[in-house]
Amino acid sequence: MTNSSISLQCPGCKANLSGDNISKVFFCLPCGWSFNVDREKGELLRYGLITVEPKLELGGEGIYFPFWQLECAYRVEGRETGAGETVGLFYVPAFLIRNINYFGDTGFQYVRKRVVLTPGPARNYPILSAARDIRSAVRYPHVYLSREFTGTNQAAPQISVTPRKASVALVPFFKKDQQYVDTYISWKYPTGAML
Amino acid sequence: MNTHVFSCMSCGAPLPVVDGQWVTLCRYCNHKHYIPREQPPALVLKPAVDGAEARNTVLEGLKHQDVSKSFPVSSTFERAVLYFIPFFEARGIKAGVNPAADGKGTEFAYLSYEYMEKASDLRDLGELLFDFSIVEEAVLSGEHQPFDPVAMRKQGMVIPPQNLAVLCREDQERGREELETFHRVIYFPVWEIGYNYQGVLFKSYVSAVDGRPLKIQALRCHKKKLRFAFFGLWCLAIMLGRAINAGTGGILMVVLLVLPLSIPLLPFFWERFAFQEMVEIYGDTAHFKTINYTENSFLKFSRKLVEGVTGMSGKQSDDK
Repeated sequence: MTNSSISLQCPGCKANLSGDNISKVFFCLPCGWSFNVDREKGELLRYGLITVEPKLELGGEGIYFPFWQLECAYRVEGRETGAGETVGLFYVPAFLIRNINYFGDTGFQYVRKRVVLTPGPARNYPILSAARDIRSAVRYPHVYLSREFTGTNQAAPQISVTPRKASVALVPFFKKDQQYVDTYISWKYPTGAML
Repeated sequence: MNTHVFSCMSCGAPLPVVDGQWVTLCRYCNHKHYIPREQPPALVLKPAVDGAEARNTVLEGLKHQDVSKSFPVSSTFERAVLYFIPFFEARGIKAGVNPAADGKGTEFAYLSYEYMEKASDLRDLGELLFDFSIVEEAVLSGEHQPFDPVAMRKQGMVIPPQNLAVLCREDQERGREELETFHRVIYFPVWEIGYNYQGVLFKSYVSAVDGRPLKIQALRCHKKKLRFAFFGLWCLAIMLGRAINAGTGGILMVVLLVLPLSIPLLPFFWERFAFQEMVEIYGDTAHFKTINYTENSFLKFSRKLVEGVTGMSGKQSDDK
């Protein structure tokens, strides 16, 4: 691990990046970039940043939940298509939650229900701390697929996943009755379950 | 808390950074820096209760039945100090394919684990019997403030975290791959309220997040036991007086009757001279400890007399 400091200024506009003491991913909304800290090399890795348009206007206090949007090519033994590999989008939370079965979370449900998040203009919402970095996030598409395709009384299929592209999607949630609610699948997080 | 000094990448100004601080701003040019540290990043719970409210909580706690009634009246309020007490939190996620529980086929298994440890032995604060659920509840429901050691020191005293080795504990789950682990230090604010009674400082502790009492320390009340002792001795004196009156005469009976009348004087001497006990109240339980005053020969005699009459031991702690 490097002992030197890493600048958290956007290389484009020189403004300080958004993020706090527990963040591993920082953002520049005006430039549309996200930056993952590489602690080993002591540098910032740049990725795209998409602000998502809410599907419904729920009103109330809005907040952006950051998700890693990973485009991956994957192959599941026994479910190959004629084209060989399948390419799909996976959403992995870049924020941390507690006391909730991970597979009840939004990212997995977005994949399962084939949700397509619509880009939109950035809104003046706060952004939840992104404490999960890209190195951890890229392991989850394999986990999602294993969860989805491992059945009972069957051997686990061989699954191979190749990440191709990564970016961060800021998905708007709205606070209602001690819960954060998304507008695509009405998924709810209790406010007390956040880190 | 160790402080390391880096240089600002913009203006070259010194950039002091303490353990647990990963993101910092240069105070001169406002350039934001990320500085990887060995110690996990810190989360600070915001104090929502001030010293006056904490003191009122302690005064309510002093109404407990095991607290001497004279203590709130005779003791002097000495201090209210805010401490930021560190806790280590570790959590991890494991996932993998395992043989199914019924032995047929396989199943995908997911496991998340988390645990918390004290990050300091709290020697200076005395032993606080901490229930970690209080800290977890505060993390979920309480407000957080930015980790700024300078600002925290203006609010109160910051206890430095120690013993990082506790975070190396492994949770063994066969067949499950460790996906990720997260560590952090949580600073939990606690008020220490000190009352002085006859030169002895009694320290009580109140959570600064929600105002709940964590530990109330005060002088123990003995009046209930003394009342029972007085009543018992009175009955004994009457029985003996009657028995002796049948054989010996009235003098002994008078002596034995007068003796119980002198027992109410004992609490006066007890409070002022004899050994005393303190009570520590944690939630619904009370623990008793001896306060060791310096004993001269008169105090020693007084203590032995009281021990002999009431049967109470002053030299051993007696947990209830």
